[in-house]
Amino acid sequence: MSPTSGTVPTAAARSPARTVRCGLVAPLAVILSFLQAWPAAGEPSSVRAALGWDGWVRFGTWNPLTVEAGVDRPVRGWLVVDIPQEFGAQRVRLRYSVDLPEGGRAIWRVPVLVVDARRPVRVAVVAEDGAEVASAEVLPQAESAVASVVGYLGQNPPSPPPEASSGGRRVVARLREEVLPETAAAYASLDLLVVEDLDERRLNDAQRHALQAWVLHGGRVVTSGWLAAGAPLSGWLSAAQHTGRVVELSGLGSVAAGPLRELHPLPGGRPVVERSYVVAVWAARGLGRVYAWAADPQQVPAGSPLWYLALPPTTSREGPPEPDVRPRAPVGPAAVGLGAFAVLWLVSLAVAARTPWGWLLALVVLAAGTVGMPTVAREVRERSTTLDVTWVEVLVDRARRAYAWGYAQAPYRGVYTYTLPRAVAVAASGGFSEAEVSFLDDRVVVRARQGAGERLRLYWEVEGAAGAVPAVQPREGSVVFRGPGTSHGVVFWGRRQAPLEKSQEPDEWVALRWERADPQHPALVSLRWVYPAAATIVEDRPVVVLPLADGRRGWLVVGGQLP
Amino acid sequence: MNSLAIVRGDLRARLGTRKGMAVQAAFLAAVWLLGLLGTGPERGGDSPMWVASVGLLVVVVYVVTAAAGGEIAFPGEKAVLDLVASPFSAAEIAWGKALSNAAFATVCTLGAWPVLLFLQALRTGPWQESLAQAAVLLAVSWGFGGFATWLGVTVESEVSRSVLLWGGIVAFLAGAGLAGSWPWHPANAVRPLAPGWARMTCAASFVGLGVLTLWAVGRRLPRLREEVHGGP
Repeated sequence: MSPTSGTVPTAAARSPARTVRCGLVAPLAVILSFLQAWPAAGEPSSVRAALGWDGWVRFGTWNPLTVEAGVDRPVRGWLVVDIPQEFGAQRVRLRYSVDLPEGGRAIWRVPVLVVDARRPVRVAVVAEDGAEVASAEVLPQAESAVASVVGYLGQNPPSPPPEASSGGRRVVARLREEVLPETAAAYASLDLLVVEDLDERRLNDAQRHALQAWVLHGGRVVTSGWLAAGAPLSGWLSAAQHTGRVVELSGLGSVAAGPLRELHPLPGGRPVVERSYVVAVWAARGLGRVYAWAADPQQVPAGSPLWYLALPPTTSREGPPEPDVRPRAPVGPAAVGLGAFAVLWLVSLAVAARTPWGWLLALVVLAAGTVGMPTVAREVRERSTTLDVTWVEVLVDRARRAYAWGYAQAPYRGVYTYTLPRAVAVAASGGFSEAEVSFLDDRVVVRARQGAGERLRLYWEVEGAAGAVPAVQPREGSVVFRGPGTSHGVVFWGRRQAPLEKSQEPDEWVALRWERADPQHPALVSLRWVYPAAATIVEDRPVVVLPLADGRRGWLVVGGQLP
Repeated sequence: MNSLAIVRGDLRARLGTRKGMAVQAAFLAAVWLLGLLGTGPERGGDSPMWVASVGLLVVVVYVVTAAAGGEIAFPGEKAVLDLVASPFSAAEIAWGKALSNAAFATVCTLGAWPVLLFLQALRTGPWQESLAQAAVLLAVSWGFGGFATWLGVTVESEVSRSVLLWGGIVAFLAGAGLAGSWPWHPANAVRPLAPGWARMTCAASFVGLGVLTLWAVGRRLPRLREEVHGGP
């Protein structure tokens, strides 16, 4: 384009009036462009939330909730997650602390127990003064409720059996690394994770540990394809090594016609052979299992035995039976508070009868009583209700998960505070109208508004690395347990059980006297609260169950090695 | 001013003497026990707070009425019959007794009010509720106190007076409950969450009873004086 043929007028061609007009328009345009650019320069505060596995939700259990929040000003306060309960009459509010600078963004991956499909889960960032900075709602659709979810990391989703063993619908949720949970508890709604591609660089430490903890405590993962060699999590999830050779096959029942990779089981791996081909390898990881498939997941038809081998039975978990908790009248603090007022009032009246100034003292006592009685009442109310807690703590390798059920009956109408250990997931059910669960750095505080006589049920899970983990090793028909004192420990293995007896070595116990397992043994019953398929777990490996020794009521479960 | 002298004298006798202190101590011990009783957990529809509230009503009414009717004789206290021979006018005596009954009822009610406040706070009830309950206690005890004062100047026989006083109060408090569920009845009006109109009606009725009986006392006094001065 030549300079003269352009559409832009030269300065010589401009008339003075036109120049003035342009002089006005130009600053206006600059101002307008600034105005248009304003939202981009300072992003307004916003919250985005995603519930479930690619939108699929299993009601009645933990589901992952991913929340991303950005703020346009410094915010110190709370991320508040409002979860409606059944019939909308109750509300559970989860609170996580927020401390974001101006323009700061943060992502939370938390487990939430969803029970109501008709009302939205509301997420908001709330400042300390109660002002709402930003909010969003997620409405889980009734049609997104399924009985079984298979998570899939890859490009071409597989086709597992469309029905869960319990009869409900099974779906495949396509996932990205970024949405994987940061707690093992959130995996409760996932039956199986099929990994075809895994970029570990897109996972943070918490996500990596959560995935490992989930598998160690019973989770199941299928790997296929070429996971990144040398990556720590990929290596840990691998049950077999690929030799690099591929054979074209047809006529197998478990795999559709197509290429089949040659697998070599890694130590501990057990091959699954069909017509002398290794179609899969599985290995135990703690109480869970990892599988390596020789074929791509899309090659495994819905009716393949490989699916039935990998998929756990979908059974619902039941906690311990509700104890007969009776609220007790806390007479002590009430007696002290009321008694102090009575004595002071009596003394002030005696003084008032002698001198008119004594009535001033009586007024002071009355004022103190008026101010102090609500405080005494609050103290009495808080002491009147204690949680009756049953624990099941499971140690596998170095991963510790503790499950707790607490029950409390309110003697009076009012707000009650319950302090729990630092749990990653808390659910409230039973009798209450509002429950606020605050996740603090060192503990969790639940404040529940209850009516007189209402029974509250709290369930929570604690996760973390265990310190010294006792060792459980099978040895020549016996099981050796090395750990601190266990006078009432029982070992379950196969369909047998044996009491732990002191050996001659220090801190060593041996199970020798085997007998038929009692399915109603309290330790085995408590194990089923955590693992409905406990029978299959103790079938494979020895599991030591012993009463908790630190004052808590419940059981410590230590998973043993495979023989 | 003479009325205030009667009030001062009565309060000094009812609060300052050893017997007065002992009565107050026993009264506050009963209030304390009822407060502890009220901390019991709610079971079904029966609230221990209801029992404690009615118990406090009975205790306050008993102490105030017994003091007003001379059933508990405090050393140095001048009963109405003792004041007949004094230079005070009938109106001053009636006013004095009305005020001393009111002052003593207030002292006893204030001793019981923090317990009501405590029981309300325990159940996260509003503090105004305890104030309304205390107003019922005050009005009912003052009304019965006036009735006891009137009986003291009307019925000569001590036995008959006692029978009439306590029989009447027991019949009213207990018997009325059996006869029907009247919301304005003191045993119902003092309950937690009783309707406001019922409490107003109850309090107004007993204030009326107090005014009526003390007016009757004032009317009775000149006749008593005539009997004293003109008697055999």
